[in-house]
Amino acid sequence: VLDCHQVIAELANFLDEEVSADLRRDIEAHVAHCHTCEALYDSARRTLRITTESRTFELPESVSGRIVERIMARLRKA
Amino acid sequence: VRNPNEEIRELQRLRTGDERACEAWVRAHAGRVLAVTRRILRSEQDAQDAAQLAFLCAFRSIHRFRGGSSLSTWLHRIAVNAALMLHRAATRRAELPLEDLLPRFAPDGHHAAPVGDWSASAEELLRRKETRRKVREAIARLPQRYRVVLVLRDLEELDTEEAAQRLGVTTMAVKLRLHRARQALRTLLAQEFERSAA
Repeated sequence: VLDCHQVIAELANFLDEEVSADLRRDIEAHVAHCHTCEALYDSARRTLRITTESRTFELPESVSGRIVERIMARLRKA
Repeated sequence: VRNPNEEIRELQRLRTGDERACEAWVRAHAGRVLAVTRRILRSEQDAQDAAQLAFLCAFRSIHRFRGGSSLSTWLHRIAVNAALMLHRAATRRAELPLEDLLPRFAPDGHHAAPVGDWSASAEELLRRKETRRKVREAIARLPQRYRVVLVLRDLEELDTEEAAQRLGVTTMAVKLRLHRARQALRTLLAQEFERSAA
């Protein structure tokens, strides 16, 4: 039987679906009965989802405009 | 989705060094390249330097581009590499300890402190305007060696082996750092999203 420490140690592998079927079953059984691990697992899953989604942010035009000018100036010199 | 013929024509113009085509290409991709370098590097100046370096490398090696991927995917890889080159210089600075952000366990293997529930689903959180900003700010607070692994794996979507190769560390080190980085990020975001701190 896994304790909380062992469950959380496998959390990243579990989220990435890189655990064996046996280990998956043991983790799921533990999480079903341990409120703290369930809360940690659940919030870790949400963290991963919102992190992945947060990638799509746009830059202000003024910033990309300045950088384009700088890159083009370097290229002309190169 | 772009027409493949359009990409071939664009590539030909870039290879001949057509200045207008080069500028249009830089303009079209600068935002995305800078977004990649900013995610990897904490300093804005380093991120901008890495973006410049990425475009210079791209123009220098564009004659070797064989079309195995799209031009933008190829440029994305170059941007990651350019940022990692500067990242190696930046990691020599002192780092913050991560331990305070990891869950604590009692000697019997149980949690040493309670963990609060998040009332909002990921979808609800993503609908909130400030969520993406909070995530970016929390990622920026992670120690560099953990942050870069999280960015490469969860944002730039490199697999474990590729991230290990780029960073010059073992796959086990990548897995361990990713695990710790995700837990630390969860703790930082929990301060914002937990229904109650109790």
